[in-house]
Amino acid sequence: MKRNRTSFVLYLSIFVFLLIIAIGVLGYFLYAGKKDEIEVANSLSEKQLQLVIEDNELISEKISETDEKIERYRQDDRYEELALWKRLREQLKSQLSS
Amino acid sequence: MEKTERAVKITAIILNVCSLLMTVIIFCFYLKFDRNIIELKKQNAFLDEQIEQQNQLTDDLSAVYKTKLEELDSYKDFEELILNEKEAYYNDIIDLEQKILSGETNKKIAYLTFDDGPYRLSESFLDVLDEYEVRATFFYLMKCEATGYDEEFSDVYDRVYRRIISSGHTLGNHTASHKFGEEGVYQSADYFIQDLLKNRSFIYDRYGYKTTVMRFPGGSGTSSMTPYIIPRLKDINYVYVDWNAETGDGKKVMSAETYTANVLNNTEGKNILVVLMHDYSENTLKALPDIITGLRKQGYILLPLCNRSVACH
Repeated sequence: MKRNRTSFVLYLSIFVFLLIIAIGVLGYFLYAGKKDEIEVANSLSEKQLQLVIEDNELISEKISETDEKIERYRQDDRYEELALWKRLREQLKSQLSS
Repeated sequence: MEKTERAVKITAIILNVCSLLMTVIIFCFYLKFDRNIIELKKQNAFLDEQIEQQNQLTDDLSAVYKTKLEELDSYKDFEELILNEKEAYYNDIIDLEQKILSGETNKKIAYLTFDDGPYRLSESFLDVLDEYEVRATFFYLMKCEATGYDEEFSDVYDRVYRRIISSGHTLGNHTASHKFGEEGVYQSADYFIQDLLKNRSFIYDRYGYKTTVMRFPGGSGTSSMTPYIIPRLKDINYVYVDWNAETGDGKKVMSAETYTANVLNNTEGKNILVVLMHDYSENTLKALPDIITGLRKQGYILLPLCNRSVACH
């Protein structure tokens, strides 16, 4: 009877030991899978971020180029002329409203 | 037998200890792994936030770029834009005239006009008009090297023409020669038209400005020839304008105060006033600020003439 009990304890200990190892191994794989998943997601996000930043830089460059072109137009005498007629209209409007 | 049992016990104890140790180790690893996962998730959240911010920036930049492109497009055809804006300004003036005539408004319009220039004093007149932010109308002759007079002032005249045009004043045609008498502009309708066109070409060729408003030298009632000329003006795209108030500077030299009074005391019942002046007179130059402020006090808005004005015929 005592021997049977000792054997049972031994088997139980072996079972628990193996169970703990199995849980450990399973946990590790789960962790590794999750880690990979997040790392891949991070890597994709970094690439996406880089692309968006590059896009923004490109748009900023285009804005600068457009600004330069606008400035060239503004330095044109005709821009002054256009501004003059707009100003005269505004002046007339304010005179009419006063 | 006992030995075997003992060995089994020891093995069971060792296994239990190992299990316990394994549990502790696994728990420690779990804590470490969990921290790693949390860290990675934080990184992921940070990257997502960055992407969100950058996307917002992209939207903002795109909106700015679109606005800039629209602005750039709007400058591409300056000529059309200027023409539209100028036309809109004159339309506003014509609308105002219509409202005045129909009694919809109690506002009044005064058109200041300067005849016979350019003169060496013209720039001073333009300075005063600029100071008071007034746009006026200049009926000018053809004074240049080709006509052989006032040659010494050709540079000044050139500046005056350019300033009148670039400041938004109206430049009108007052014939090339402005001569009276048998060999003057009124000798025949044909001669008058030729003289008028000569001045138009002079202004257009030099300054690219097409005059559409003219004034007869001495006014439309000065010659028996004008009834023959007037019907022909439309063919050459001209309208003529006279005046219903004047300083009197073309008739006699008087004081600045008299010139001012001549204008300000003769405005009654005139909702649309056309004032005749000459930009050669120093006293007119002195009177000009008082005339401007006086007319404004009487409720007049001072504007440049256009060929659709009711003051034009």
